[in-house]
Amino acid sequence: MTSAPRPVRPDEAAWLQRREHAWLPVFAVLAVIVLTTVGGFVVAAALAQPAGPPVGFPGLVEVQPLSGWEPADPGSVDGRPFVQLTRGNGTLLVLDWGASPGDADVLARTVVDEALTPSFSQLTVSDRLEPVVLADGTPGARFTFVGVDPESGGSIEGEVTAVVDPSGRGVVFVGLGPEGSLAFIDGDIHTMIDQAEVT
Amino acid sequence: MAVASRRGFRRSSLHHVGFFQPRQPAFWLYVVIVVATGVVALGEQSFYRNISASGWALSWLLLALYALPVFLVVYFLDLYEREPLSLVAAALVWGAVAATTLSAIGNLGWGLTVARVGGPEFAARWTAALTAPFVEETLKGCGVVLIYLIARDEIDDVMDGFVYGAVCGLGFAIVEDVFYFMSVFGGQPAGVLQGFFLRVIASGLYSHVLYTGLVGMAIGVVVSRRATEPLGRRLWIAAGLCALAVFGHFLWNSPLLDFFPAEPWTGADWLMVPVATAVKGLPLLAFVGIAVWLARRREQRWLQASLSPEVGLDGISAEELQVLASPKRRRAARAQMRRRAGSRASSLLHRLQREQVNLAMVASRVPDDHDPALMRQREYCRSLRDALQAIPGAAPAQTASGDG
Repeated sequence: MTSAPRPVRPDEAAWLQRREHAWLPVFAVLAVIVLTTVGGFVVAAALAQPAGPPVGFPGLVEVQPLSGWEPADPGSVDGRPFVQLTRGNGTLLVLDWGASPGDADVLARTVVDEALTPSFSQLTVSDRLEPVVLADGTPGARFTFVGVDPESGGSIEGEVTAVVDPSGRGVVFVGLGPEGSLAFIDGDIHTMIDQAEVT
Repeated sequence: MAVASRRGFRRSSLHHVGFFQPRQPAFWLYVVIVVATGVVALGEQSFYRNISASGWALSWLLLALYALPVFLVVYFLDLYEREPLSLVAAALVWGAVAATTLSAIGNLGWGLTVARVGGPEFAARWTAALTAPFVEETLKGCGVVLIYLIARDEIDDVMDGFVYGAVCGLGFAIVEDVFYFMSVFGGQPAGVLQGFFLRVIASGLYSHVLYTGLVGMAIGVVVSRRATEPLGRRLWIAAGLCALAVFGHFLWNSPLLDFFPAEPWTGADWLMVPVATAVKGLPLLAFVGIAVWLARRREQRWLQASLSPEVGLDGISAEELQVLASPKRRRAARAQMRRRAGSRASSLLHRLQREQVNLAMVASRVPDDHDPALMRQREYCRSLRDALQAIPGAAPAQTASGDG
């Protein structure tokens, strides 16, 4: 059943008469829905401007920090050097793994055995490796983990992205944060990793 | 003059309009969005079923036990003019399918913005409070606006807006609860029961039904009070109602006034949970209760103002108006009629009462007391009364229940 248009009474005051534009309010509702649904991504992307000089290892990888992320002291894990960017209690480590034992999948599994297992207790690693491709076309493998930091006793969650450069050297990106906080920085971390230049 | 007093309560619809309105662009926007998001929503439910079929089925069973009475209460709050079920169902589906799916995307995007601006620690504490109230109330409200655009004459009072908004919120709450039961509480039957206690038994009175009910009232104010309130005042009232809905949602999601016992809960902790939820939700529930009561009072005043000039004419008697004004008295009169003259007479009395409500609608929209439509409706009511009184046993009962 369809509704017939309501006839306008001749005695009806002009301000009471409804001009029922069919399309205008529909477009307005659509615009509100689109703005509400995807507007946050646009604003977040606009706020995530590159800031400061790139960090990394010359000739291997360079990562451009987004605004709010600052370089912190470099260090090493099991003799493998890393640089790091921090934002609050969120951290992105970039490790020069040296010669990779295989492709990105193999490297990712090696990271679990040689870097995460010795560093965390009660380590839980996601079941599957997620394939990723950086903006420059470099393929990689990604997984998440949760573990307890033996020093602080705090529960840490993280995400590892392993890539291998054309010469066979491995680069490992590790996003870290206290459990429950990673979801709020993984957008930035993914952006910085995606834009990293692996040479 | 009668017409002048009636115009203050001007209502527009007499014949109900259903959801299927292919000539309305809003109908197609609704359909496209619900179908597109429905594919995602079905995939999500399939995913949950794979996690635990028993937990998933238990989730829906428990939520049906909660949703059905809430739906009936909301639906029957409208004193005189029940909304078309197809439109009410459309509001429910929008809340359950479109609003939940779009909100998941919107919350994620605006959550990224909060994290960009405030940093991860701030975001971990405040994202739920700073994103969901704005994103979800906006998207649910868009559904009510679409319902209005599909069938403009059906939202002709604040109570109508509340009904569509509350039902839309109910649909949202059901699907969101399934998500929580399966994803946050583990999905196994024990976790589902725990989630049901926390999110429905302890919190079910304070959730999306209230928030979107207020948003629906706001929409009802804007679109139905053209005759009595200037646009600026309507917009201010609507903005206030929407702000209250968003604030109530914000308070619920925020770490403020958090009196929940520390986990894991044992013994008396479980008794503290409803207290903690009441602290956050009870004030808004009380406000909505008062707002609904006022809206119902307004409906009663509308009926009295519309039908008082009709008393003594063919359409309605003073006694009939007294009965008609109260749902309780209407039901009692029909029950008494059934006992005295059988179910056919009771059914006919029900029809007479419905047509007398329609008489009020005609009376409030025609330009004068001698309008042919109004005279036809009076005559129709009189013929129904005559038919009723012709049934053996009906006339005395009708007199006893207030018919003169």
